[in-house]
Amino acid sequence: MTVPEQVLHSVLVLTWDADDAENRAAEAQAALELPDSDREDAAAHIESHRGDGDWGGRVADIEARARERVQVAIDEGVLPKAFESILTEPEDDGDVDPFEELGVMSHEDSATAAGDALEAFMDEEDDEDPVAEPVQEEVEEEDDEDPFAALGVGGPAVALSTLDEDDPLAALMDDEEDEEDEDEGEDEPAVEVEEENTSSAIDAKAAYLMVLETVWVDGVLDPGEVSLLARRRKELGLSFEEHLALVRKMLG
Amino acid sequence: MEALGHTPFAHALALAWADDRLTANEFRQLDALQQALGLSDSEREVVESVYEEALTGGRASPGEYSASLVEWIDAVRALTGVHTDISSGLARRLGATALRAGLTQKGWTQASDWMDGLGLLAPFAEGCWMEGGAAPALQAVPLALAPAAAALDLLDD
Repeated sequence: MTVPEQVLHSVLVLTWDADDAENRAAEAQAALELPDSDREDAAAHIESHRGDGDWGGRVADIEARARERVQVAIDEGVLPKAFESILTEPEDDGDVDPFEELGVMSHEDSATAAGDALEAFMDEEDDEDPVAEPVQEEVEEEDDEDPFAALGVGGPAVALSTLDEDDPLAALMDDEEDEEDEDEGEDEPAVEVEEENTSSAIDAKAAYLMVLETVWVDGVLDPGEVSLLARRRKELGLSFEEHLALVRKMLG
Repeated sequence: MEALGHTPFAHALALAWADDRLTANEFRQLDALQQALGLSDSEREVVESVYEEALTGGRASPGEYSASLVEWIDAVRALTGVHTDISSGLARRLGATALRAGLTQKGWTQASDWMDGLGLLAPFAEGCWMEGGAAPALQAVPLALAPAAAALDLLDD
């Protein structure tokens, strides 16, 4: 049986220097349903003990134990299977399972066919500073080790502009959880109101369309607005397919 | 790179007609692309008639992208040929990347058409609209997704 706080600590230990450390920590925190204070405590503990990464000469033991805890958490379904990617030993950095990197189950046949290539793709991501300034569009034609050729996704890779240091979606995931928690405490009245105002599916769609038009009126949707729409869909009992149909309707 | 059409097949048509003629070899290459995209003959006919109308009306532009038709078709076939989990994962993450940058109506519309043409609309939409949670961002895309990334304003000028 895993202790969520220990699992989160282990995830932080294993991803401390990773480019996506913040995202990983946020994902783990969300999966483990822990408050920010636990994450802060874990980070503070690591900062005070890891030194320059040597952990006072105990790095192998510390990391081995962290891997063990994360593995157990994954086996127990406490952490998503995607976290298997952080269990890779340092010397095996080049062996990242592309399916794991994509957060999907591994399929041996496909992995055999595309593994090296995706690994190269992910390596390229790893090589790049995730908080770097926007990069120029780059076609990897000059590189002998074209990651997408090896990936099986033929043709050159095209780099995307990188975003701000803080991942707005990671932050939003925390917010959503908090809001959901808050909602849980206030569920009864909300349900009553909703039941009182139970309207036809047409009314629900009309109401949702109005929200959609309102939040997209400035021409650009941000993660907060998308999160709001997701909550409204839930409240109104609309499916994602109905949402897409309404988007199509709104955009003509 | 900008798309030369609304869909990967229309883009390929523009590349094939870039030198003002369509050879038998290019026609066969388009056949291969049609198969890779799972387009029916009637669906292909619609795309071709729209493009040919634009071509005869002087509205079709070969664009400035110099990739060959072969390179383009290879890129599309490679993406559609990998395991669905991989291509869907990339599509979902592309949608999530677009949301991080801010999703415009024009970008959504154009990119949706493109991803639909690749059979990846559903995972792309899920990424854009955070259906099922937030997906990680991408820092690069395969060439076949680059026109969608351009429509989403994810490429630097």
